Amino acid sequence: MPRTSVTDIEQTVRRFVAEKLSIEAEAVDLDTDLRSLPRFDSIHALQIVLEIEQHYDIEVENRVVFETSTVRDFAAAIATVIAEAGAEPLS
Amino acid sequence: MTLFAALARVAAQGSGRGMHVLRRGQNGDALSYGDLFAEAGRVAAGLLSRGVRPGERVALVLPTSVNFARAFFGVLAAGAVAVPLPGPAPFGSSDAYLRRTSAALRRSRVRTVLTAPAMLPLLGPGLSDGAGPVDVLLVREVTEPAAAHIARTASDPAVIQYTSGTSSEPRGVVLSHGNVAAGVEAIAHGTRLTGNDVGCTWLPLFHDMGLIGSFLTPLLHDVDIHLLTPEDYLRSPQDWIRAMGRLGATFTMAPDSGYRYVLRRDAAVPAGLDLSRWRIAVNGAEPVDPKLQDAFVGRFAPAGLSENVFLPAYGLAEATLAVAFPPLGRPAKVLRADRDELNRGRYVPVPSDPGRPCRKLVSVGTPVRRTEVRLTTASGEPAAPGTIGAVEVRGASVTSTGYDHHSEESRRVLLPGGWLATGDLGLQHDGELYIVGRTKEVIIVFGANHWASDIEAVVRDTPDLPVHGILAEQIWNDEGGRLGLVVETTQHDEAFRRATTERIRARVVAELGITPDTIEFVRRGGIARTSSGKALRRPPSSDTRMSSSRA
Repeated sequence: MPRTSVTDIEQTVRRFVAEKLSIEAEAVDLDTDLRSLPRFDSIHALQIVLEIEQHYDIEVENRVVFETSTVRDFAAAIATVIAEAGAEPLS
Repeated sequence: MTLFAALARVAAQGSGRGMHVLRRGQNGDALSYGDLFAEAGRVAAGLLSRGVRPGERVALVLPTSVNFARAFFGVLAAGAVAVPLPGPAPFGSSDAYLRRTSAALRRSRVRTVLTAPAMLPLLGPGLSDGAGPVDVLLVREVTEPAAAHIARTASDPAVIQYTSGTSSEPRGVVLSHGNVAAGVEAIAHGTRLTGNDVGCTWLPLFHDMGLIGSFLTPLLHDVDIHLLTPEDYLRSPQDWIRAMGRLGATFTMAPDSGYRYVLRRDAAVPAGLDLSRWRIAVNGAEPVDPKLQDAFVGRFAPAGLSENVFLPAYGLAEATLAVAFPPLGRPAKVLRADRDELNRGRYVPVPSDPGRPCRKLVSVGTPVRRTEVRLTTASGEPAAPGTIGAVEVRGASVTSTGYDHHSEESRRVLLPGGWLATGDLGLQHDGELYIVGRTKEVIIVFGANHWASDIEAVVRDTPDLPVHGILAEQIWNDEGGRLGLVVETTQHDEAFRRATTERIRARVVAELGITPDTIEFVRRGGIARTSSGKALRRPPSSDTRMSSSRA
């Protein structure tokens, strides 16, 4: 996936996570366990997934993000969904 | 009457009504109750040919879908007992999920699990390892061309309702066909449900309010239902409200947190929204907050929402859901109780004076049909009117068995004379019931019960965590029910606390899907204990939420 680079997705994920949890994006490292962040529970997780879905115009099944814990894993899972959907990100 | 016989009666009416699944706000799969009856018999045939025996427990790990309905009634038609269990949550740990699901399967001696293709890769290998020999099957795999049906009686078990999702110490309420039939009848009667009604809900079907209230009650009364998945609701709660309007839905049900979530996520009322047909919003599973109800009605009044739409209800899984309902179509009846007197066990009214601290108690009305409620003091005497007692219930919908293969817990709740200890505290005033607290040690988060002891064990088992005592506490805030933790430790430096906080959060979310809003560190011995070493829970902070000082 040339332009839909995993790095872009990682940055997008960091931004959405920070926005939803009302924390600084700098507090979210690629290898931070998202579950260790304040307010991150299954409800906020779903909200973050929704933002990602709208942003990339994809549909992410629960099982895709099951057992995911870091931005790096999460972004990799999203990259796979985007590749399978054959969709280009909107930005 | 058995539940399959009740479905047969609905199917025979041939009304064409049925269940509809909404996906991402759009119409999805639909299944008429007539077709459901026919197809459930075909699922039963497949289960029987695989050796499922009458009375055997069969688990359902299925999303909100028409296949859930086929599987649920298929299990009943086979003479077996349905055990609905949750699926995995995003960002959960598969190890924790499988361990907890296996614990429930072992407890109920489950040998067969019905599931959906998306869950098969996880459940197939995982459960067979953890729970002994378990067949994990797809609903379509067990659907055969010809239908079968094994007759059961009203006293046979129909459903095992696990009450706190999955827990390390799972407790599944045994509900007979007669219990469930009486439970759905009581709810339909209390809400004056008719064929002109239309239901629209998002509650998960493994949850008692979702299964009994939002699914079986309308279904067994031949009432159309539209079900959103809980995931779609959480992603976009306004999809629920829009669907209520678009479908002309007349009733729904949710915990207080569920309505609160709508107000918090979306400030706008969609243009053209018409909620004028919506007549009932059952509010249950959590303490009822009159301010939330007022705020919700206020928000949607421009869309025609009735000001008396809320029905603050009291119930529990052990009573097949509903215990008490207020009369329909009246404003919430609210007592302003003196806080200190209430803590001493009695209701003393506080005059309407904005400065005066008080706790507002919302009436949950009177017992539903074929149900009795009594309040008992610690010494076993009837509580006098206006004084707090333990809430005990008896009736046609109340379990007579208790918990599946758990005689110790069952003995604790089953009282002489057919009464059941609810673990809740209440008072009666002017013939109506008010719930004021509870003795059972559960933490309610978004309408779901979590045993405090289970949460504490999860924290305690965090690897290499140098803490001593752990206490889980109920918090109430603008989001509804939340979890707070108190942690005893001898280490005081900031870096230790930060790292420990992160590790506790990560573990609790991975195991339970919820996160502590607060983690308070106290010195060793800082958690108050009884002489036997049992931690003393401080009263939940719900008192402040109900207070007029925040009005």
